[in-house]
Amino acid sequence: MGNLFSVLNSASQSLQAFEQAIDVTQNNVTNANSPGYADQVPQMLSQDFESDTGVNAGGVKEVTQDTRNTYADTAVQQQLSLQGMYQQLQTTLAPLQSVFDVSSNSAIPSALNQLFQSFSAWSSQPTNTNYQAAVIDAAQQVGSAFQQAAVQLGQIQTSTTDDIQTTVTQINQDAAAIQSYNQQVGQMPQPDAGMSAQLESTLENLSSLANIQVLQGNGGTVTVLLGGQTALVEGTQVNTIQAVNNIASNAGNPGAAPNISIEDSNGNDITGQITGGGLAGLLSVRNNLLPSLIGGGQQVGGLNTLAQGLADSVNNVLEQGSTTSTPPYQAGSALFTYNSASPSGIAGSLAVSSTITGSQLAAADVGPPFVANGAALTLAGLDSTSPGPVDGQGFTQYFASLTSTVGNAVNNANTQATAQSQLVAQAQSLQQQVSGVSLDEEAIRLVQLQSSYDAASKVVTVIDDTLQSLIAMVPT
Amino acid sequence: MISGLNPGNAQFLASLNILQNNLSQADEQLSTGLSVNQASDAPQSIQDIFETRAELGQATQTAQNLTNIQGQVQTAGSAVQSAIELLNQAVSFGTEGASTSTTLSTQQNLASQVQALQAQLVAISNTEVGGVYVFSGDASGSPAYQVDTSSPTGVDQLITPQQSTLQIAGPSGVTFQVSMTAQDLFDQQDSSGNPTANNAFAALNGLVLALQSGNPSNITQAVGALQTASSYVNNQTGFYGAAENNVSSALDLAQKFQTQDQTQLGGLEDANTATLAVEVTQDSTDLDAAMSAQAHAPTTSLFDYLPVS
Repeated sequence: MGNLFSVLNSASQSLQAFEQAIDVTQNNVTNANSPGYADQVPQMLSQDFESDTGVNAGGVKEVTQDTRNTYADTAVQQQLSLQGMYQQLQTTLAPLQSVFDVSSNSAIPSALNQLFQSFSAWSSQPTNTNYQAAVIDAAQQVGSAFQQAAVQLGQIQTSTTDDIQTTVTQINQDAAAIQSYNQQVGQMPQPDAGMSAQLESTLENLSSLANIQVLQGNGGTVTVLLGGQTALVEGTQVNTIQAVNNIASNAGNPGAAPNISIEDSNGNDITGQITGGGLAGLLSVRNNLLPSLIGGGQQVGGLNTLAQGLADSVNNVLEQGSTTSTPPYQAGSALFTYNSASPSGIAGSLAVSSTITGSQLAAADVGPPFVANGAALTLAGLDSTSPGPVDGQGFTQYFASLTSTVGNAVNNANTQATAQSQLVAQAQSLQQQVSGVSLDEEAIRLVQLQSSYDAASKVVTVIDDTLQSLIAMVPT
Repeated sequence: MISGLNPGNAQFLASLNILQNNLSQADEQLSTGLSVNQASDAPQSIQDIFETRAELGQATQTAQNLTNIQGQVQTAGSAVQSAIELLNQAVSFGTEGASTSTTLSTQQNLASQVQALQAQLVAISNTEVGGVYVFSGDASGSPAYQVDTSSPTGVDQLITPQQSTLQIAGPSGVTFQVSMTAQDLFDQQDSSGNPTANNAFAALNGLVLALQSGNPSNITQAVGALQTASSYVNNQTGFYGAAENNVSSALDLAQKFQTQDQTQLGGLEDANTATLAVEVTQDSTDLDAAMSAQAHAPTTSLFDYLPVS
């Protein structure tokens, strides 16, 4: 009888094991589309022989095997990090293309063309008041175009700074979620597939925001390093980061917006470690590209250089010229004004002198030889002189080089983002092959487990019948 | 499953996105007629596009300037021709007055006619085209002379000194002069400000005075002086002939530059509709094929074949 009961016990434990395995399979099917979920494979192992209880081998026990693969997960995280950076660059750079418009209506080059054409028309009739008025009008258009571009770039600069703050907040939220996971996982007797899925999903989200390195710790906890150096989460300890204005970055250029730095919880500057994710894209635009255009940090900005070069060149010719065609020669007045105290605010302050009139425009070059329209002719050809007045380039050429810089940056971001989306899909495909849930496999496993469960239950039934028969044979 | 979306589907969507981007870019190019609508479309061409636009604007303005100048130069040339005819007419009147058979009354009458010619020459010196006094030199906004019978030359200078330093720029940047002053043409003076033998105003006034005096010898002398002055003015027509040629050549060149820049700009930024049409067709076909293939991909699993109890 003792043998029959031990067989019954084994069969009962097997039933339990198959039930657990079916639960695992059901869980797989339910979570087939859950982000971060890795396939859990129920392994059926033989029961150990237990001499003290008399339970012998023959029964089975279920052990769940997690298919999560660290290498596949890391590959996905790395590709997501690059994708996050390029997609962020795409988003942040897109508005710049409207400032550096290439259509024939583009504000700055169109205004510059009008200005030089007005100089040319004026040179043919220097005393014509209509042509003089047209020069002042065209100069006002140039001033407005520069001011408008400066305002737009300032808005993009502000919005990029806001995006950096938002991204840093998201990173800290993800870090807090990982810290919470580490706390919970340490209190659990065995790994939980659902929590693991949540962790993986959080790590993937974090990867798209910044370049991280994930290290497996004791008891299933994870350590997350930012840029491979700064611990963002270490066990149950989270070290928040913050975005701050790097006041020292614009020393000597006080009118310029300071660069943004990322600091760890100890106040150390870790900006250089951020090389991936959306945060890297934002920092690259905020600290490099935008300052090169409108000024920031130590950079004056190309637009300001252009505005100052234009104003100084035009004013210089006019002030050297004469408004009269006979002695005594009267020097002309400056056409443009700007705030010279703020080198990074020149484009924003470029305007036409409020007091200038057409008669104060000096068309004559006093020479020798004296040429009645010499100054006007010089101004008309100022954009095509070689070497040009702005860093050796003409005004239109210089603006075109700024536009090309923006175009190249957007083009590169578009190309890389497209390529990266394919690479992410490839990495995820590899991850899917290793850790994904296959519904077909789960269906087969379910059928197998059902059959096994039926078989085990049959054993229980047979033993039950045998016991009933044996009991019936006992005389009453 | 690690991500919320099947990686196969994610890859399909990524590829679909590339096709759709290509299609929308081709659509944009077709609708605008331009291959470069944003800086990122062709960053390497931006410099050429902007510079060509600037050159085209410059060439257009130069052509406009030259067209205006051409009218002034042609009018000035015609005016000088009229002045020569007028001076020749005065020589005829003088020759008639110098004849011994001419009565004093006729001589007085001839003097009046020469005076009228003198007024006409002053009017010629004040020729105006579109607000520009073509013989006023650098002070082209003001007339140069007025009649003054009490003056030794019969005229008063309204602009002193008269100089024409205005340069006209051609499309290649070369500058040239297109105008002379009325003083250069009709009122030649020595360094002391006294009329020279080439001074047409003085010669004309001398003839008037000689005719009024009725002295044939003085009239003959005045006619001789007038012929010298007329000959000098006649020689100056060469300047306007050359100026007209310069303006005309510069205008031709400016128009060629315009055409050249327009062609170059078209090559840089105009969309190639034939290529785009092929591209759109190809992308549409690819898109349809991809969608069709995806639609035929099996969406069932073995679960669909399990018996339902």
